[in-house]
Amino acid sequence: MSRQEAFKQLQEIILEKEWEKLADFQRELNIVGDELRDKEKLQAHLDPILTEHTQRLQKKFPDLFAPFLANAIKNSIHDAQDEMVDALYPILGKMVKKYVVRELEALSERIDKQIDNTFSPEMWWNYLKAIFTGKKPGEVIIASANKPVIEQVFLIEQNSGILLGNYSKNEAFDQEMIAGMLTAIKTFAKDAFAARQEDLELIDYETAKIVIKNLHTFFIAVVVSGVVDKTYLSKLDDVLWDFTEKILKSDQNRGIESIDKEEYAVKLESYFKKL
Amino acid sequence: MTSKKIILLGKYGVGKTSLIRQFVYNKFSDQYLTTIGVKIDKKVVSVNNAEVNLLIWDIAGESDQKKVPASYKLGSHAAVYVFDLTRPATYENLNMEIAMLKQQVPNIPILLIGNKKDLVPVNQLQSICEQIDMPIDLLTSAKTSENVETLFFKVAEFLI
Repeated sequence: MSRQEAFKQLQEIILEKEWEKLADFQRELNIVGDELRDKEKLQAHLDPILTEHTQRLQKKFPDLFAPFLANAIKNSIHDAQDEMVDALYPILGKMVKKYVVRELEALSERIDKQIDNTFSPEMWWNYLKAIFTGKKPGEVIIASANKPVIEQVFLIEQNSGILLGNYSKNEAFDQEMIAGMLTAIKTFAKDAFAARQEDLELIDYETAKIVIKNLHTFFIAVVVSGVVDKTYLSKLDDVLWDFTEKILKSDQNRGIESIDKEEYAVKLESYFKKL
Repeated sequence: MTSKKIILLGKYGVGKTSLIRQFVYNKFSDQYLTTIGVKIDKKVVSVNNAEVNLLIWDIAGESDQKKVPASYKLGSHAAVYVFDLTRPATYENLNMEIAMLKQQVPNIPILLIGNKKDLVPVNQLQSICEQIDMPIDLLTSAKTSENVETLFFKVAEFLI
């Protein structure tokens, strides 16, 4: 036996078990390789693992991801505030309005109850005021907190709807077109209820009222916001008559159409601002 | 500057709103949206070195003038009666319609306008105009804007 053959024999004796292990390992590796390449076999192995993992994730989802989601939503809202307002405004507007109305009613009731149990001079004064005006005490207190404000006054020629003068706290829309449309509404109402021979005197919005004073050739429309009660309407009526008597009648001799709109704006402001 | 009320009348779909839209906003749309009640627009025009503020009342078209609320017409300084050159029904009984208008708003200039000129072949225009036994003031097209400015300037001239 040569030295080389002797070495090989020695190698086989020493490494036989290792080679067998290696052959087994190779076989197992081939099986794993086959299973990895075979989609169905791989799926059979993975499905139970993934199902178990998903179930675990579902259970732990709020704990794991809630803080990240909350942050992501917060950031989105912060970055798109205008879009959020646009989307929510109509819904919130209605909700707020309903809430305010309900709260005001509740407030009115609470005040009534409180007044019954209170003897302060202010409360007595409101109470007396309510008795004399025939209103609920709650209404008196709310009205004093939300005083009426004159927003706009229009002096308009009857029929043609031409604006002769106006006073406005904030001119958001074309005043001449408002005057025209007010005339159209007024004349339409007159046509529609022709048999009654009456004129439109009040347009009631949710938060404002348009009080109309009809004269022979003109009419005055006053837009008032806030709580407009009968006492205020009566006061407004007095001012309208006063304005008609002192200003319009004397101007009629000069020809109202020829008077500058700016001049009327000043006259209307000085008369109606004091209300 | 004086303000004047102009009313536009005529049966529905003749192009009253389109004429005003073309004149005031230089816009035209093929989409038909019927006017409800009345719509008011305004434009200042300068004629013979004088400015006039035209308050244009676009009154919703009806099948006949009897159905248009008379009160919309009161206080007008001029009226424009519009008919559609492509629809004979809009220029039948013109005499009666105009007579009624004159009765409701006497002593104001009334212009008779044939609109949608762009839809009528040139060789047919003459025969359509001959069917109408009243003088037509202008033939217009709200779509191409032909004679639209001329119409309102003509109205303004009457009012100065």
